[in-house]
Amino acid sequence: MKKTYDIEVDCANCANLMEAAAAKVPGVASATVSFMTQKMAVEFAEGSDPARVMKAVLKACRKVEPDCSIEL
Amino acid sequence: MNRKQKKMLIRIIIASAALIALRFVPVVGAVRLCLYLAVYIFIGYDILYKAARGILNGRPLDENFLMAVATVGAFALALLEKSGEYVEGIAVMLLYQVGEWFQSWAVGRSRKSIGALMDIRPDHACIERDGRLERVDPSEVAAGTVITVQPGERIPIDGAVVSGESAVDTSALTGESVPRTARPGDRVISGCINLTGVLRIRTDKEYGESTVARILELVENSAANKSRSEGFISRFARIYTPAVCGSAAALAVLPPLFRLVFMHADAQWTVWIYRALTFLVISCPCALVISIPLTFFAGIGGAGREGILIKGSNYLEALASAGTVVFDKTGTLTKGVFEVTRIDAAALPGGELLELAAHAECASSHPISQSLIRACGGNIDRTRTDRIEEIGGRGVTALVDKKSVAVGNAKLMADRGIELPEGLGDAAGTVIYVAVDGAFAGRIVISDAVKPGSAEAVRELGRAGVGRIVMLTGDNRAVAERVGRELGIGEVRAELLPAGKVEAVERLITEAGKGKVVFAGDGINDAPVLARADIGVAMGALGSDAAIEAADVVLMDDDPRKIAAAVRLSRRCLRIVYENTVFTIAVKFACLVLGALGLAGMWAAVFADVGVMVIAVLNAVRALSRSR
Repeated sequence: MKKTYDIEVDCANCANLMEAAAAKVPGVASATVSFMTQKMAVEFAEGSDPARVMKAVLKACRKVEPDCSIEL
Repeated sequence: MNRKQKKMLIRIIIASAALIALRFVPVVGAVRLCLYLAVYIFIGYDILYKAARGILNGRPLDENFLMAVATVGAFALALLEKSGEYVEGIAVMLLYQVGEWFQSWAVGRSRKSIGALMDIRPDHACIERDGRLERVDPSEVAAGTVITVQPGERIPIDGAVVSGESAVDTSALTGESVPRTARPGDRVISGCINLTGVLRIRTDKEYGESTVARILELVENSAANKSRSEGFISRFARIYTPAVCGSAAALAVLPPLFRLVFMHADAQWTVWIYRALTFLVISCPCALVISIPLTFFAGIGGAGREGILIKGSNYLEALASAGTVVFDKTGTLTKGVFEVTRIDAAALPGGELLELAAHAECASSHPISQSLIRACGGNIDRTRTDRIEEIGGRGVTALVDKKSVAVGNAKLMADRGIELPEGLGDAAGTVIYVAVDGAFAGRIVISDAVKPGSAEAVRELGRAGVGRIVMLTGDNRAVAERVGRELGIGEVRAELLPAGKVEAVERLITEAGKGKVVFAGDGINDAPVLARADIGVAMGALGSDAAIEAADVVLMDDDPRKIAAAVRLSRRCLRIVYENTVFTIAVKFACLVLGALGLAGMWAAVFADVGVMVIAVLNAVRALSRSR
């Protein structure tokens, strides 16, 4: 399953870091962050609960960029 | 400007004013330090906070950290040397913030202007209930509902006009500025603006399936398909920052130690630490990291404005290295509107032959069938036809008025064991053979006209540096070669079945080597070829869902010249990407070397960071402008 979320991030490099961080979260098959459109597209692994996974994604992203937000 | 940017701007102005004011305040010692420190913290507290967070989170090497270390270091040096020159640290932080602010502003601006291009989302649909117009959310309208669109409103959902006549502006979708006329019976597509009259439209799709929703989805997803260049930059940044930090540390420690141990001279610690800090300021990778995605984004936005939808920056990148362009003939280079130009009936009157053929083809959407039906005056009684069977690349067989009718090309006749009489002669066009009850009954000649822009499109592609142009068609050789000659295309592959087109494209891909193979088709029968080619371009794809799905690039109208425009545009975009990459890396390395040698101070360092980024961003935004 693939879902797209609106995000807020201020610098392009941070967006790249967020992408790398989100991809490592368990339950995420792949993640792409577009700095320009301020969107994060997450492909969830089979059988994972998006709401729970996204919480972990947000936490992981906050770690690399405290200033970011994801609209869940 | 958003709230964040306004706040930052105010901070920048206050800090600059305070810095200038402090120049004229004659204080010394601890008071002086405190005043400067206050300004420093005022302008840089968020950076310091983020740097601290980064260290706590085990990610110490981001740009906030670089700036924090550089500026705190500058302060420490000023303290150590008792010079009282605290300005430098503050100025560096201030300039960094100015740069960040500008970047955020420029990116926001281009994001907005690109967003405006794609602002085709309808906010409501009007439904007439009890004589009153009611506004509802487009997504709540069921297919088959009659909606009313007032002049000046955007058509929210695809459908057919029931009543009313109006001019419709399709420019947001096609880039075509001349309005189209919509009359009762015409299909209209969502996203267009109704200009002059009230239109009542019976929707034939739900909002989510409508053109406008599909396009928006496509555009929003395009950012997820990242190009190789973008991937390169992310990887580069991941290695680059630690590498630079390591070099800076080495620069601070090794030369002084070398001087101490081998030259027995003064270590000059402060000089080398200062140089290391300069080094750190120069090194921020943001100019690079921001300008590349921005260029692609602007390029895709600029293309969208011309009615060229590119599904991702990876395709934009691939388009730029297009070495071979393969055209499908029908509907791409030719109008795809076939007209019956000649009927040679053998066994029965010409009118009857046409009628039988048209009825056999009545269920097909193939352009040839449509023209047979049109030639028949559209008087088709579908109950007369039974057991229709379409044979891809050959034709149709069916029972019409209980007679077995086969309509198709010579291959179909051969398959059925039907002998064609000798001496029919050549015909300029597509020849449709008709057999009734297993015997040849006659032939119908249909021809297709070349689009006015096709020859120019071929010439322009040649000028744009595309070395090889090939035309594929399921049509017969004589017709294909005539069209090829007319358009100046030397390579023509004719009489191909849909599977043969895929094979031909695969062969071209192996022959092309590094150059990419573009396939342009109208998307009706081409979905497998569109998917197989390096870049599949679907033309005139408005309303054809399969084509939008399968293609990598979607042309909103059916002008083949747009392909040349797309190639040109992508080349320009890639050139800007290279310019920015080479420029930023060159300036950075030059400044790094100068900084290490002590020839560039903090000020030059800030230029290398902020100035370069500003230039790169401005250059990137160029990709948004129209190509000529």
